[in-house]
Amino acid sequence: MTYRLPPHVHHRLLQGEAILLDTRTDAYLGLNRSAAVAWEVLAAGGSHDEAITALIDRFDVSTETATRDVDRLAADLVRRGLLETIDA
Amino acid sequence: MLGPATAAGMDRLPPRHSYRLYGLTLSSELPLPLPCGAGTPDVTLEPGPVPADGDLVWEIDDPIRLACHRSGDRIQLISDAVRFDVGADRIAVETRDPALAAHLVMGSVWTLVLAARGGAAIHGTVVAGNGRGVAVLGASGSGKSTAGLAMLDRGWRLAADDLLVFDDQLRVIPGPPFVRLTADRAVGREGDVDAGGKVRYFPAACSEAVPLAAIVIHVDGISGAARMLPPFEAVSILRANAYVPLPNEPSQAQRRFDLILRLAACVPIYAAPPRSLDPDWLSSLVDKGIP
Repeated sequence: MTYRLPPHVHHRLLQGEAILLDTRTDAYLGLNRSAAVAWEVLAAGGSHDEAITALIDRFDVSTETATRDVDRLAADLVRRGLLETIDA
Repeated sequence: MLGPATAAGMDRLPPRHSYRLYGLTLSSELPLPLPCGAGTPDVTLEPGPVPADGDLVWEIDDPIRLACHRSGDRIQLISDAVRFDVGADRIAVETRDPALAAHLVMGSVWTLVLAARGGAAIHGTVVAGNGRGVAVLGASGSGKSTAGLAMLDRGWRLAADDLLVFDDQLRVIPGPPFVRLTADRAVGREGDVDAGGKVRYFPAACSEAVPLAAIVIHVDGISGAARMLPPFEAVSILRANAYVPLPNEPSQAQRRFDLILRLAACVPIYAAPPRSLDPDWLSSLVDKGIP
């Protein structure tokens, strides 16, 4: 599965953390360092699996943990309208 | 009384003045307590009809009753005695209270001018020593003025009070050269009372933009010494101190986000309990860079 960044979302990395803005609501969301690594991949159009690989490469986590974390993160971001699914 | 200019009345209009306000040249028929400007005006303030025909955007009752309306690109700021029509380069005013109009031009009206020109601003006070500034932010009554006055009494200069505007290099652009003080805080300091009921105190002021050494934010509910904030906390608290003159405006939200993120990336940001700032510590922010 891959994703794309909706036009109403702007984001910046700040000291390893990601900060997202939804211009529709003026709401901010902060992502910690590990979530920011996955976010960078997903927001750039990378796949779910690439985000999992990036997490495993950067942090000392198992495949199961990385998969679970990316699943949760992607689902939460899609639910908030901060990420859009482009294929399944 | 300033009112809509008519052909018959043009020769009776007061002379125009040229002022400098947050880095822009303002040509105004209202006398304002601002430094002189020069050159082609960026913004012109002149009498003109101001219909209140837009949709209500926001309204406040304190310290004065004020409503903001919008109709397409036109923004109107309406009070009982003053009406403004605000654009990026022209402000039309109808008023029977020039003192109140002048007071509003340098505050609420200017936040709308800046918004119309694509700018963003935050709320606070900046004082500067040794060529670098410290911004003190926080809610009303949290001690911004007290901290700023303590530094001004040490020989620092005022960069801006209330509305903080930044140039492309994130330097603070000088604002009106006065601090507005409640009567009790103004004891022993000369100044005139403005239409908002506060004393305008004119300390030594910066004439050029000032780079920031630090931002210190008074935060309720914390105790102990000031501490440097991690990124998202800094962004969240900065955001709470940003001006939002036009809510529900996506381009405004993005510009505010960009300003806040640039500040958080480039300037150390500290949280401190209200009314806790020690002048020696504030000096150390400028003198040592990182205290």
